[in-house]
Amino acid sequence: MTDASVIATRGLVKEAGGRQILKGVDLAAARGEVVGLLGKNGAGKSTLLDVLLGFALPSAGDARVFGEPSQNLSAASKARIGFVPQQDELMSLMSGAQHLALAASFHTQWDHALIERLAREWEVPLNRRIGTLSGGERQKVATLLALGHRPELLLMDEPASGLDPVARRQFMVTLLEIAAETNRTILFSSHIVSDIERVASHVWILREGEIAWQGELDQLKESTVRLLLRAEAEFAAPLSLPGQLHCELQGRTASVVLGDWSAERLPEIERATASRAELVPLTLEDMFLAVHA
Amino acid sequence: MQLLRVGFWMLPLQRWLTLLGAASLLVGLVFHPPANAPGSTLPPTFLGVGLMVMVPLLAGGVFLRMLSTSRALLLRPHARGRLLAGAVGILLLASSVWIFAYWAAFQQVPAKFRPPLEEYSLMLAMTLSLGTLCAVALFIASRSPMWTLLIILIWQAPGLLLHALGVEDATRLLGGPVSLAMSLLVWLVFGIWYLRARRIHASAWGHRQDSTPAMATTSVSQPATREQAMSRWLLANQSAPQLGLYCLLAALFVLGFQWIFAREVEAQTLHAIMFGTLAIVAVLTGAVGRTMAARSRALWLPAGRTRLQLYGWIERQSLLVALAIGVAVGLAATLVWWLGAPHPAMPLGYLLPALLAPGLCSVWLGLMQQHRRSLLDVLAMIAIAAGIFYGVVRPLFAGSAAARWDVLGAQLVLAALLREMARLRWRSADWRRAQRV
Repeated sequence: MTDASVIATRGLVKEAGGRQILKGVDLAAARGEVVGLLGKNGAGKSTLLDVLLGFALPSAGDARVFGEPSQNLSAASKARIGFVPQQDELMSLMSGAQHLALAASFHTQWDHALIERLAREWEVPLNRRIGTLSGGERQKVATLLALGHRPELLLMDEPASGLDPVARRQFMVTLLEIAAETNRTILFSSHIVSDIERVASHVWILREGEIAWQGELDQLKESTVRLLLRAEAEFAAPLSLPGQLHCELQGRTASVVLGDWSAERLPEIERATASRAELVPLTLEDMFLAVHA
Repeated sequence: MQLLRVGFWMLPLQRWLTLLGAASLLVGLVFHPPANAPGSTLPPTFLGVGLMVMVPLLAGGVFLRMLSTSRALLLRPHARGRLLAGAVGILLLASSVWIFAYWAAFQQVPAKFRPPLEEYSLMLAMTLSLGTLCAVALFIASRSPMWTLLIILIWQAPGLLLHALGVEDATRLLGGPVSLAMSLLVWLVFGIWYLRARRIHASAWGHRQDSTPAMATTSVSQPATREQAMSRWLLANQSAPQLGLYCLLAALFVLGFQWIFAREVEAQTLHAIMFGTLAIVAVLTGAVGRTMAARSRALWLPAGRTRLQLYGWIERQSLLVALAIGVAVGLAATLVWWLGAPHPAMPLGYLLPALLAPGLCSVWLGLMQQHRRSLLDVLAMIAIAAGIFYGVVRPLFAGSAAARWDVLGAQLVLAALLREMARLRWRSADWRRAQRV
């Protein structure tokens, strides 16, 4: 945790319903980072966002946003945050335009021009009542509400899950534009790994309430590889290599996913396994699957 | 098992009512008082069974529409037929439970107090017809507000017709075999329609299509201050006086019906019904408090306040709405008082606070619904209902002139306790999931 951290947690634990959802999570995000939060259903992604926003109280440990405890954020810090929830909190009987008018009154600065432009580009029917909108349209309205005050920290819980491929692509382009603005930090959770791969500069992977990996996406890609090992004879026993995340054996061939990779390790591995190794590039989805294998 | 689950255990409210009802039933049947006090074993028994069968007997129609529009359920073979059979099955089950409890309760009293066998069959017929009426009426009424209005009118029509025809004892005429035959006929007609209908529509409550032309975001009037915006958010663009006016109109509408159709009954009974209705209108403040608690999560960031500061502000807003509803109830009560001849024996100076006290308790009970519900909430709900019964309905029904200041005092103490409980819950409020509002 550094002074420049916009988000920082230390030993963060959250219990609910007699079960630990977050188990001692240590995380940090600095200004300007676009962090993709990955994890299976029930891994604790939404709970982590809830704690960071102060909606939920930590059971133990510490969660800080802009250097303040998340459960006691000052008004000034809260005004610097935008949030898109997984399940929107819009009112069925009000229109999107009425929601935006209310949201504009909550903030001292509201970028009407930006909202008008995005609403036009995303084809959001602002005149219709929320109760008559589709899930994707509701999600777009919720996103507009979070962007209007140009927040320094934008947290989004599955923001694109209800959007069609065209709308999702538009949304991601906008997200990149927003991220390009100086000092803007974005943390968004998603199941759609390709979205995170396209936009995120950093990745946090949550597995059963614990951080399985965190860091720069490029670093993750460089440090995690798949090796195809071809041996003369069949592999007798499952392989156990340093940094091994996943291994599949098929006769004389083994497919191994390794973390902490460096090119110098290749001859050593070939010697240890008595095989020829071939390096295969991995997508983020492959890495995610390997982490959860 | 499926019937039991849907009938008694599907929703959290059902589970609480079933558990409370079972506990009350157990008290009535197992720990019954000596045989020389026959009346004392019956109230807990009937209260228990009443709580258990309340939802399946009275709300089956709403469930049926809800399940009939579930695409996942309709993919199953013979889904409509099974749902219809389930609805009838639950009705039969709930009626049987009711009659069985009635029979069991009277087994503990001396034989001379036990009702004859034909009374059980009459009661079964009437329970089935009431359940049928409620199920079909609520199925239709749950379609949209317009259908609800139509059902209210249809519901009242037979009584009005019989009254116009000079039939004094309509209940006896419609009871017994006649009501049983009518129930069977209603289920037959409804069943044929239900199985043949191409599409069962989902409930359209709150899903009206907007017909306003397209508007830009800047063309919508924007609240001047953050507080105004917060208030409009909590009240879904309504204001406290508007809500009070709606309550007044709704109360006058219901009271008008009651006065038209029940004016022939004894004055005391009519007073108990009308003032009891007003007390129920007053507890709508609970729904307001609960809705505000549900919407509070969205204000956490923009309001820029701590949990307790936010609670304090929302409490003030809900008390403002409670005041508007209280004024509406007070106006309606005064109107009923002056128009009703003879006046209730009880002084208006007591009746007004007695009507408003349950509403005050309900405000804080509503605000307590901050994602953590417990047995305490159910007990508070029962205490509020008991306050209405013992503080308003029973004395009026008995024609008593003595004000029940003790009951009123107890309700004020309850209100203070509920307020503390609400503050306690908000201090550590855990808004872990957004609630649909």
